[in-house]
Amino acid sequence: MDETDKTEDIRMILLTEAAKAAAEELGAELTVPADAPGMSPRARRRILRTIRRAQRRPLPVRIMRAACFMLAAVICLGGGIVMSVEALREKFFDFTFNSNALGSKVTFKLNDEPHTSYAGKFVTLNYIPNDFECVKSKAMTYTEILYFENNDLWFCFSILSGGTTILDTENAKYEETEVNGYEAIYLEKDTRNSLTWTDGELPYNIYGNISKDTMLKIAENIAVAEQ
Amino acid sequence: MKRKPVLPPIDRRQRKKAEAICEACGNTVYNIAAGILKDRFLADDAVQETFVRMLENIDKVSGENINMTKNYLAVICRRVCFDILKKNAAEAGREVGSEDTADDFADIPPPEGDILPLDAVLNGEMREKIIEAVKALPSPNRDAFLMHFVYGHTVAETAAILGVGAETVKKRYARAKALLRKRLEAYVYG
Repeated sequence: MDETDKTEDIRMILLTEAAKAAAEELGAELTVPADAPGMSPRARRRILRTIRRAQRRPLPVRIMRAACFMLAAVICLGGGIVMSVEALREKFFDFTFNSNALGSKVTFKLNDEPHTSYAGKFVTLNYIPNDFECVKSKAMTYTEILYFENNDLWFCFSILSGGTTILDTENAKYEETEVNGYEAIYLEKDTRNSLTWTDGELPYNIYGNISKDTMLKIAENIAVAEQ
Repeated sequence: MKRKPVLPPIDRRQRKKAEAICEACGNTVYNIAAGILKDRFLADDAVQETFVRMLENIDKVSGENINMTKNYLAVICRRVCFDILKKNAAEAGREVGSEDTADDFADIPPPEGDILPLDAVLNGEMREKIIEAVKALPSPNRDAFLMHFVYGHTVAETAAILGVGAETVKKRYARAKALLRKRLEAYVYG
């Protein structure tokens, strides 16, 4: 390096050093008067919050979050593969919604057909024909009556009490049938039909002006709560 | 000015440095902003914006030398306050003059190389004269000069910090060099 370059470097060092000193002196001249109000605590907190937000999250936390996400994805995928669609739907359904809560009405699809269920106090009707609403309900000791309507159509479901059930068969068409393998009797009269059956423990009855097939479908899809 | 802060990611060390600077210099910056804007709420916003711009270049800020840091923040704060005034004036249908005057770019050609005259004697007196000359520079030119020459920002970074175009930064820097050279020549050659 020749003399000219050395001189140049020294001059640049001097200039840089002096310029820095000038910056420092300018900073030192910036004083805050004793009676100045200063930054408000709110503004100070806001700035500190901004600084904290800017901080990058440490790598391990990011990795942990990614790992948790991957684990959740694997569990969902595994559950989907291992369980049948219906079982998975049922599990998910139970987790996200308590369909057994009193008065719950749930509408869902089964085999691509829309269905509705209704939860009474002692029994849940897992199948309700579309557009039927429960307009009256009564629950007593070990018995329950649920009355459904859909414009002119109606039916009444009840858990019968007592050991003997008497059916009015006068002028009625009488038919023996089955509900879930148990003996059932279907009666058809002018203005109303009825289906009476048992599940081996309790007697049940549906009567109304809906069809036999609908009554059977309702009867085959009830779930009794433990008493 | 209520721009949502764009937060550059910083690590824990930088965060601690920024918090320490906020504690040490926050009131000074606020005082400058309040003096220019004459409004507490605008001053709060200006201080917030100043620290956000500082965060974008936190590594170039000296955490140890508080006076240099104060000057650095003061440069940014003045610029932010000017932007706020300009914006408020525009909304009110008034005009705020530019910091640069026509005079700033007239007749003195920027030196092609050195700021220091060739015959400058390298002694303590020269150092004092340089300090004096830098401090005496007009504010916009001094800010561009210090940002580039002292704090080590590129033209683009200086432009982003000061909120002006790169060409403006270059012109102000060139003007600062020319004025410094003129003053120092006057000292050296009488």
